[in-house]
Amino acid sequence: MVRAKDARPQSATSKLHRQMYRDMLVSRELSDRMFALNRQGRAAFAVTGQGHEATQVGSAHAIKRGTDWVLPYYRDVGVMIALGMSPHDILLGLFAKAGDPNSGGRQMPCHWSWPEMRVVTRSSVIAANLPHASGIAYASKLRGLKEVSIVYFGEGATSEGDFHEAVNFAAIHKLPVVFFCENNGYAISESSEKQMSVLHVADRAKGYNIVGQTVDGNDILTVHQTTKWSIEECRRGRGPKLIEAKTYRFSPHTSSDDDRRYRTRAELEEWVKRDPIDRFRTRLIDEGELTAEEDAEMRAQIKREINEAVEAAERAPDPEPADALRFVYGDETAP
Amino acid sequence: MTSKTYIEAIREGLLEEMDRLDTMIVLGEDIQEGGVFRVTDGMLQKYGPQRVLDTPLAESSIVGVSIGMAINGCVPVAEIQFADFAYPAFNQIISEAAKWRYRSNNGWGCPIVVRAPYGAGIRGAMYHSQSIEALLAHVPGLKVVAPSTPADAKGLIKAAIRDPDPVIYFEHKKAYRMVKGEVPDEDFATSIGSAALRREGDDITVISYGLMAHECLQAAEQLADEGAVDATVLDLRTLAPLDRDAILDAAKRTGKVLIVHEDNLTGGIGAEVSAMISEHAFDYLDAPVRRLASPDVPAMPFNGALEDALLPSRETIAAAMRDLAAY
Amino acid sequence: MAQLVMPNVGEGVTEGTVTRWLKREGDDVALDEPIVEVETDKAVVEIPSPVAGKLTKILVPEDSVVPIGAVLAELEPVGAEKPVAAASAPAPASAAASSARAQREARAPAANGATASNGEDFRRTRRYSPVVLKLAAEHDIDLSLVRGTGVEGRVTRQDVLRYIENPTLHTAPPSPTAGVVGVERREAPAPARRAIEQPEAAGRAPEGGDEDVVPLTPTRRTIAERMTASHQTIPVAWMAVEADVTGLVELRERVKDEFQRVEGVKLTYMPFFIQAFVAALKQHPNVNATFTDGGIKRHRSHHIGVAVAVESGLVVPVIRDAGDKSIAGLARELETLAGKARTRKLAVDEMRGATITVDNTGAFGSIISQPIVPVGQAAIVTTEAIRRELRPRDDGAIAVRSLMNLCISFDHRVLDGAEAGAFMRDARLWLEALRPDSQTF
Repeated sequence: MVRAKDARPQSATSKLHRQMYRDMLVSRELSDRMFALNRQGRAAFAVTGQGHEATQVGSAHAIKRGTDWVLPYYRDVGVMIALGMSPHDILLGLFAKAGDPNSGGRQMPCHWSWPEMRVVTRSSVIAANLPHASGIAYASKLRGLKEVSIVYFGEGATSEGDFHEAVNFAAIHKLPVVFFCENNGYAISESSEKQMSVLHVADRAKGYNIVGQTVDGNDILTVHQTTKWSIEECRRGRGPKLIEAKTYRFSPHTSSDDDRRYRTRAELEEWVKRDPIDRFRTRLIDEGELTAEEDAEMRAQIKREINEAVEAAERAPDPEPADALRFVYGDETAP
Repeated sequence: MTSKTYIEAIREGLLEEMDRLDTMIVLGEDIQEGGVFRVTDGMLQKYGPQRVLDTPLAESSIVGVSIGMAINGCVPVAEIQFADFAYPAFNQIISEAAKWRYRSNNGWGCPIVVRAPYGAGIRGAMYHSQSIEALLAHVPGLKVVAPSTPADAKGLIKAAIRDPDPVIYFEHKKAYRMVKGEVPDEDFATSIGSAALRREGDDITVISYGLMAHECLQAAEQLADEGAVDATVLDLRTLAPLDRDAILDAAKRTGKVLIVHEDNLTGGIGAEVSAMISEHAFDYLDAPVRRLASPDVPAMPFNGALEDALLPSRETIAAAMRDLAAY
Repeated sequence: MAQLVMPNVGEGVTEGTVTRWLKREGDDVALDEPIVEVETDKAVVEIPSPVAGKLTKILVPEDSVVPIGAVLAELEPVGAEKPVAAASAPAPASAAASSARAQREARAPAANGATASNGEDFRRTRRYSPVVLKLAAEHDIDLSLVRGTGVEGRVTRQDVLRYIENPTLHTAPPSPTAGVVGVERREAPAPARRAIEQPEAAGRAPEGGDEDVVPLTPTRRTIAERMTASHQTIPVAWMAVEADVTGLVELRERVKDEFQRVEGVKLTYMPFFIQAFVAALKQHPNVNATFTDGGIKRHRSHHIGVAVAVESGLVVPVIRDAGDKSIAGLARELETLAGKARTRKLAVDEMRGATITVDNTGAFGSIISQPIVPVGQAAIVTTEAIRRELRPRDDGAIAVRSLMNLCISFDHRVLDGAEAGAFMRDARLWLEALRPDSQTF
């Protein structure tokens, strides 16, 4: 536990900010490590969220953990860290180990599933879980529960029919769903103008008569505020919200992608200069909520933690072949 | 026991479960006015528009939102208006519902029911007559049922609603008003995965499901009256998982098996049943396992004579039964 | 695919009898060429082929009565595609169905997707289904003994189960092989004794020893099967009568040379014997019959099987419609058939369809015989050697007479002694009525 040198009392807000900052650092470090492990041949596949930290961590901290329903997509390592999933657990998924809490090694890494925290399992099919969010929200409303669903996706997903069907349904019934789009300008190699004729994803909201907001996805506090407001509005029964957070991904789409084929290094460098972590750190230090030494200490500790997690996860047992036949049905009818 | 039509039995099953489970929701297009076949007649008045939900014309999300409802404590029974229109929902059914439990390593189940009217013989032409059960019975993680009698229709809709896994429930649209039968009055559910032995005989075995199961039984009775053939008739009821024990027992009894289904021949349920019998009852076979099905044409034509010519009929079934018995 | 139908010959005729197929399955036919002979109340007509092509399938056997419009045969016109048979039960096989036809019957799936059966001669190729083999192994059964009621005579599971329950009731009749003695394959004889032991496999010569093993020829094998089957399945009774054929002998002596000169063939006693028996058959139709479970099938025509001894064994060519033939006609046909038999040129059609068999055992000097009834017939008669003996005449004087025995073995399921006796008496009387000056027709 890091202690402030000048023993200033920590306000709740500061605590929150430091936690958010920490989550960003963990998310970044973990993302870098997962990618490296793939490049070292120790992990078959990696999909990470470098550059998205402000968007993911900022929004996730607005969620009422364990009450609200969360439907993150594969890039949302920051969301999962913010919700409390440990790097060790995430790495068990990277190495497809039996103890992987998301899928027992059955799905690709970062295909999140955490029933206790109401993180809903999803497939690799883009946008297929948006109708699930609407359905969950319908049930919340029918049962009179004050819970909100938040579903995350990239801007490419907004081209899928399921996006439109899900938003339409939620809008018709004024359901408590926050549709959160992390618009990083690329769907694998395709830049946005190939994906949509509107300039902003949030513009689509008008077509469904709901509120759409565009925010600077690299400004963590704005993201946080916007998400918080949206969630609370949903909780008050004011209908679904569409949030578009503009951000940028530093990594390729996944470890199978070569991003040099569709964007220039110059463009990447431009965005790296606007790294949301650096931006938040600067702000925290400026505001006196963090010192440079604390920052260094935090980073070193995180590195150690993740090193240990990698080591432990890599050594963890693999699933048994017979396990592959289980859980086709709930009553374990043999396949 | 009370005599009911097939559609009455389904409606009753739905109503009884709606009464029993106050988080059960029926949803689909035109559900509130009773549905295009009137299966959900009267339900809006009883349970209100939140539990009897008219959805937008969007099959993918009909199933997609059902999945969401199911994991948040509701019991959704989605209706696809005609099986022919289910394909946009296949992504949700196959990629999502079927794999939900397996991919989460038993973290969650996906207890949805998707009902769809299917089947030909009512001049519905190419997009209101299809049989799609083989496509879905192929997918592990799904349960697929196709009742033929009112008793089974009621028993299986209840079992589907109570099942922890996704169940695709196919109702034969021609059977709705045409098939009548005795239905138990008390609460009951019919096991998913169990076939029903409709008739016992030592000459040949006929395996079928859906409306064709009736035609087969009637052909069998007629041939028995003539003293021509004494047939065992097995009604599969569940297409996935198949009742392997019942199938093999019925096959072994006579050694001569005829599988009859309305769906087209190639890759149909008959192919799987035939393979199962060949693999596991080879030493009991007295004849090659035969199938009688519609030919491989993309869908039923509107022209009545053409449709009749393509579908198996009591006459062609009886002829096939005679032929097999004589082998 | 073209069809040959029973024509409407008008004049209120509603049905006809197929009397003779003039062409065989597989034969080429020209347009308008006569294919079959049909007898109606009014006339015997030859039906010409409606197309030029091939006679692919005969659907109606000889002696069948069919209504006007019935399909008699199928033809493949020249240049037509291979016909697709419907996947329905096969038409009942005519007597001595050839295996060639079975091979030609390629079955294709019907329009509604029903899968088809294998159209092969199961008996001949001895193919058994898995469950039949399993049951046979479990119960130690020789499947060649089991009567098959399935398609093409296939032994079915139920056949084996029935055999297990009652072997005598369900033993197989002999299997037909192409080319030798024609037997009605579909006639199922009833009670039989189980074969006690199988003969040693032919063709295996033991090393040294006292024996000399001669491999079985197909003819021998067939005779063995047929005789065994008859012995096992037909309850046979036998009787003999003695005929005074002095008149016949003198008659023949008187006319034989002239006959040979005019007719060009030798005059033996056989034509007279045949006419005698045919005359008696006409009075006793049950003798010209076949036993079936469904009833005694009385044949309207008289097709006489005449036993001929040839080098490889016994063959029995058939004189069709012997009742229509004169002495000269019979003599001519006998000589032709005997010649063909000796040179092994008899066709299948010439050896099937006999309604009764006449065996001239007298030719070897036999004076009394107990012949074996061919499966499918009600009786077989023998004509024993004519011997000269002293007999008292009516006026008390002793005279030398030509006497011969006529013997009959008959299927006691069809005939009783009284009827057989009456038949034999009539034949005897016919022969005894011949005088040296009788007209020969």
